[in-house]
Amino acid sequence: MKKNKILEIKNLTVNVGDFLLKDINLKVNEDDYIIILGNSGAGKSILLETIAGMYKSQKGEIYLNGKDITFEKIQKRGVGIVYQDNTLFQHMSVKKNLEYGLKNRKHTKKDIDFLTKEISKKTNITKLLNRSCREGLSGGEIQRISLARSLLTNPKLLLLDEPLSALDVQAREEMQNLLKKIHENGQPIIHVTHNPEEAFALATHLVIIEKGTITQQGTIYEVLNAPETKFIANIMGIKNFFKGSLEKYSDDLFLFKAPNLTFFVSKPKELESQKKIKNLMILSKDILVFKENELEDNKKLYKNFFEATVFNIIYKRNRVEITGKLENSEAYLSSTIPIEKYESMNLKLNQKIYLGFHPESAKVF
Amino acid sequence: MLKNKTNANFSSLHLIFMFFGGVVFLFIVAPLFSLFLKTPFIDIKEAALDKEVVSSIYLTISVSMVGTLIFSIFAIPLAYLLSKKDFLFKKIITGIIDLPIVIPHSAAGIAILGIISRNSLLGTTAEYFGYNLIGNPLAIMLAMSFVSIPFLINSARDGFSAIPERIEKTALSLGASPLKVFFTISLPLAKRSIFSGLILMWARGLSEFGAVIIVAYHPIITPVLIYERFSSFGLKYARPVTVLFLIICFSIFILFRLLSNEKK
Repeated sequence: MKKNKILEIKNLTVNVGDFLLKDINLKVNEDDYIIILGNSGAGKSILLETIAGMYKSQKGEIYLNGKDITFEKIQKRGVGIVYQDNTLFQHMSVKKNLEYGLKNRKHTKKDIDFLTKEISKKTNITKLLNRSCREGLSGGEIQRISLARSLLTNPKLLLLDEPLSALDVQAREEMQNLLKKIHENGQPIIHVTHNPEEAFALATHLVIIEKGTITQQGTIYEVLNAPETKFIANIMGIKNFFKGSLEKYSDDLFLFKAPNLTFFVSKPKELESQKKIKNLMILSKDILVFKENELEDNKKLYKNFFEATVFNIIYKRNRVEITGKLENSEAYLSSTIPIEKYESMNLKLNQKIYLGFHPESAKVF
Repeated sequence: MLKNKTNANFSSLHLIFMFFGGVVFLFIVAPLFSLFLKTPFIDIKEAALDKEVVSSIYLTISVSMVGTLIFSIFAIPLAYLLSKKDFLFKKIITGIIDLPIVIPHSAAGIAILGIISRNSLLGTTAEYFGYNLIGNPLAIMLAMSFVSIPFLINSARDGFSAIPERIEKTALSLGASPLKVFFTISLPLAKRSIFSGLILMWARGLSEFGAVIIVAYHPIITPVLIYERFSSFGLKYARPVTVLFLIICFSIFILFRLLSNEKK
């Protein structure tokens, strides 16, 4: 079945002060939950606010349900927005906040009462309706009310700007579940965040912005499998990512040449790819750590074998990530080993170690 | 008297500051207090029965109030623009708005006189309808408003600036027109600052002497009346009017303050 396209952005360029958002192309289908990931200052919020109509574009078009809304006023777009900050109207009660959008759309009082009650149940804010917004609301409550207020206007597209960032762990989880439910009920969503965890929890589709341009988009699986930049690899939790060129070494072995560093890799499947600069990634779990006394036994087993010093040690739930700074190189390799193994190895910072991995563990794309 | 917000720990620094603060406080309170002490109640009562005094107080308070209300219609939108929008020469305009505070008020009076005199545009128009602006309450209102309007504009602008832009943007995204957002969101949220600006403007207007005496000695407003009694009859005769005027102004002030606190 063909999916309905909700939003389409073509070659959008937006200039705000010194900041330039350039050549943005984006499509949102009716069942998408899009997460836009990027550092602060990458232009995520500006993109979101441009979709909402708060910034004028210098170039390009924005289509909502097939209609060109590039120059449409904010109040006529039918796009809802929820921010990280508290944007409740402080001089009104919670109920009045919810009713605000419905009153603008001239609903009858009966309708307003019914719809307000219904959304309050869904977002679990019924008990708060008569409260003042001035005091006593928790961060989670504020976000649920903002969300309910926006949903009441029945937006064609819901825009969320870091909606979970100001929340504590429990409130964040509740809000996350609520967002999931709202999406499952058919609400197309674009959600902007700097936190990859939110992408893993919610996204059907991922868009990564760096310095005002989209550097990659696709499903989480696609992005995880072939991150386009060091930054993307990093936020996706892939520590060992290099850019370099490929050279034939033997029938089934190739050399991957990164600056100051060469790896043995297996013959890539898609060698015919025209790209000159290739990406290489090695999952941390595929790299093994050895101490000096294990050197002789393992050196010959691994085609890729490096001397290093321990640069960093981080616990990651049931594994421990060991980052080693390679000898005679500015590069780092990270390995995650089971916590039991780490405890038995007794590693210290700056200690000499060896890192090894097989050519088939390296993925070139 | 002085309570530390976290605990009642007084350092020697606080004690030294209390001493310095006390000097300033005394400086403000002492002259006013002595004014009240040196004026017998019977004289105040007499002043309250003096028709010239009563009508001057009424004129002063009401003209300043009308001026404040009329100019607020123009000043509040200006304050909104100054707080929310960037435009050409904004810094210069902001500076010009503060001019009435820094120029001598006699100079302000001369300037106002220039725009209402018989050969000015405003003056000839008024004369066409049979009015003379000089010596008219309207002239007093203009002089009062001229020197006091910066207080309203600045206070309202600060009030609007304190509203996060995203609140207004959210209201727009909920389908409200910019005009509706202004009246249902911006104005109510800046209400306290605007109210306080209105009181400041009104208070500054009714205390104006220098500009008013130049544009209209008559009808006589209380600050001019105080000056007249002082220069013609001496300190003893000027005091009762002064005290009566202060009592009435204080009372209205306190009433307004209470009202605005209640709204909170």
